[in-house]
Amino acid sequence: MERIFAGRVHPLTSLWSTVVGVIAIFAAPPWWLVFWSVAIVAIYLRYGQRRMRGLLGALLAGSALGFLHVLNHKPGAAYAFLAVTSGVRFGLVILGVAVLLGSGSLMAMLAALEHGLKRIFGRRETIGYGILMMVLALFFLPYMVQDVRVVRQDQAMRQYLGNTRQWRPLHFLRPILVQGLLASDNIAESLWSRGWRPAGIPATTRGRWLDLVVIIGWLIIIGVEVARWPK
Amino acid sequence: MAVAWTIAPLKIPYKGWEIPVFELPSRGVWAVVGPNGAGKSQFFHQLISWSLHTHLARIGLAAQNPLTQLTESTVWQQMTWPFHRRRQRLAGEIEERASQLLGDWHLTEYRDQAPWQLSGGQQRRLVLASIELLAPEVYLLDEPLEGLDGLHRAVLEQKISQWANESSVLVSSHAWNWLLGITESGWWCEDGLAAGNMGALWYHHGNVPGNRLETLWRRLLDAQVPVDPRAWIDPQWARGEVKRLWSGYLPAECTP
Amino acid sequence: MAAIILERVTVQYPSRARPALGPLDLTIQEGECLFVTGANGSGKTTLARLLAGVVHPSEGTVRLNDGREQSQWPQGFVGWVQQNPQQQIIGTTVAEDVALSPLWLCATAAEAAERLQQALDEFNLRSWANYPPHALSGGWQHIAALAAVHAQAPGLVILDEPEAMLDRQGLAQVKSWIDHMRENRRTLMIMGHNRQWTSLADRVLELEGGTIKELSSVGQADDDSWRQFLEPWWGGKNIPSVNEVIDWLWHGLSLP
Repeated sequence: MERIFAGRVHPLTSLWSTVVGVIAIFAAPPWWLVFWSVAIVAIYLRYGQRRMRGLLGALLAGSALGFLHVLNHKPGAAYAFLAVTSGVRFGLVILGVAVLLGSGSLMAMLAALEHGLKRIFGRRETIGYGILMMVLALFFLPYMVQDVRVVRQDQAMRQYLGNTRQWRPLHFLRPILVQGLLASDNIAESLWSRGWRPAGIPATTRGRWLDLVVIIGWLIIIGVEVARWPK
Repeated sequence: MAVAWTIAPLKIPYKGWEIPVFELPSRGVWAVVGPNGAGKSQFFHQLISWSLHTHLARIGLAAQNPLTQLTESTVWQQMTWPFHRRRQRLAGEIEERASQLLGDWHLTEYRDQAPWQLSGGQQRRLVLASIELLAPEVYLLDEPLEGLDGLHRAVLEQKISQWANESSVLVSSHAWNWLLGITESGWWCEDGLAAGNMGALWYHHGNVPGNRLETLWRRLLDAQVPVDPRAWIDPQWARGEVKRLWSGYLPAECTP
Repeated sequence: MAAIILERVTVQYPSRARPALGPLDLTIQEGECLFVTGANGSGKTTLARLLAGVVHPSEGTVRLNDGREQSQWPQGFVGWVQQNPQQQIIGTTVAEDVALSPLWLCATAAEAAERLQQALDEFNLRSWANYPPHALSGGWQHIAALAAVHAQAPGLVILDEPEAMLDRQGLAQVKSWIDHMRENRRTLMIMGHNRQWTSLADRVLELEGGTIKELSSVGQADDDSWRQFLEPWWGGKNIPSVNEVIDWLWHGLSLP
């Protein structure tokens, strides 16, 4: 079965685990970051060498950014240490989010979120539109990246054939923005014709025991972190 | 085939195949045929990359999805922006030529409209017109028939034969009957490029018959009857072939 | 499912001089296959958008013959495969995109998962299921868009240029899917320029400037090139069967 319906945990559990994970990384005392790094690296190991290199690169870049931040301010070892740990935190958050989102289906997560919210607050259209905005924002990005390459090549081709040397950034940005708006329009139309309605309630899988275990696990982690935070 | 440029090698990144030596002809019409997902569009994009890096050949591409090539706020600007020079008026001859091309493709009335508001077929026509204005030495047309109505298919055919006198035109399409009518040779694209006569390519690769005449033709070729493999695309041509066989004799080596 | 009735429908886009569609009176019967053709910009896509409910008529009404107005139609009643599949694919993977409609239309996730699997199997998309849609070629993206509509199980299916970018195998797949839809009494509306679809259609609607130019019934499959090939020899007589011609051309050769 495709991963959209085949996650080990409920999609909503993945989604809020991401959010809680971000909080946990920010709440963690500096030495806990070692634990977080190991945990994320362990999860990432399954994804092969290329991603592994990306992970280590991002961690190093995060630390370096933090250090550069220090250089622009007053010198001081303690301050530098703090800045480096914030850099590491930042790198970890990004990677943690990537791990969680990459391991499950974002669409299933959003559907589960919509389902949950509508169960609690009733079938309010505002919730439907809110989720639609998220869908448009999240899913359009990969297409933008694709379009940038194709549009850039076309622009370069025309500049070469027309012997235009001048660099016109607007020629590169405007089409992307306009096509972005246009594509959102098309996507909204496509969603509508495929049965989406703001008041509709999407199907979602049932929660399992594992979800409960994950909830308890997160509560313990956050609790321990907060308890160890220097008073 | 008069070879104008030799590219060695040409790598197709995502599909993982490469063409050790690709010879780009100087003029004529050449088909690029192959199954879905074979890498035809990527091949075209790689040719553009090569042209932009080496500046050896002036190659113009009409892409599969016209929307990615329509970047300006009006049809007129879309046609003419590569010719604008800082603080200079557009050259009279360019202006005249652009107007003429818009007329050829029946787009004059949309001159001040945004390209995004045009219908699918009109967008494709605009892309074709704008590429023609750039006068490339090699035209790459990726599925140019999609969205075009009968009238504009005829315009395209006429344009292609006109372009082929001066430039080379590489056309990718899945419409065998159309391709067989506009060109005699091309490449089969599947894990590489194999050059061949269009009739032979159709016989070997166009394996799902489209209509009864095509089926009949394939059967005749199976039986080694000496008919022109391309003749089925035109009933009159096919009739001429049969008449020729009828009035002569069937060679002994033809075995049903 | 019931017949769809359009009464004096006009669609006017803002800042356009003339209506994009209409005034139009049209009844589409349940289980009917309608082929809609017309020049570029004649209003075909606007008609599709109108029926899909993404634009609303400025005048007139669109309803089912049981009296339900368009706003009361069931969710996902109209399945629409657009001309350019890139405009309608949303998911980050092919499977996600195909699963969209089942997620919204099915009561349980198990039911949605089953529909997803069935649609992927129907179009041989299993091996592509976890790929990002933009990694697919144009033809495969088109197939993925069809699979998404299949998973939606709509009452009315609108196919805008269904042959676009498809190779022969893909086209054969689409045709057999269309046959399957017809057997299940789904109403079909095929739009395009390729006359091959008339052989599948019950009626042909030709649009011109947003209004009906001609609405005609078509009989049995009409293989025009075959008729043209044979007619001159059989002037005044009955057109022979395929087998007769094959026998005549070559003893013992017969079509399947």
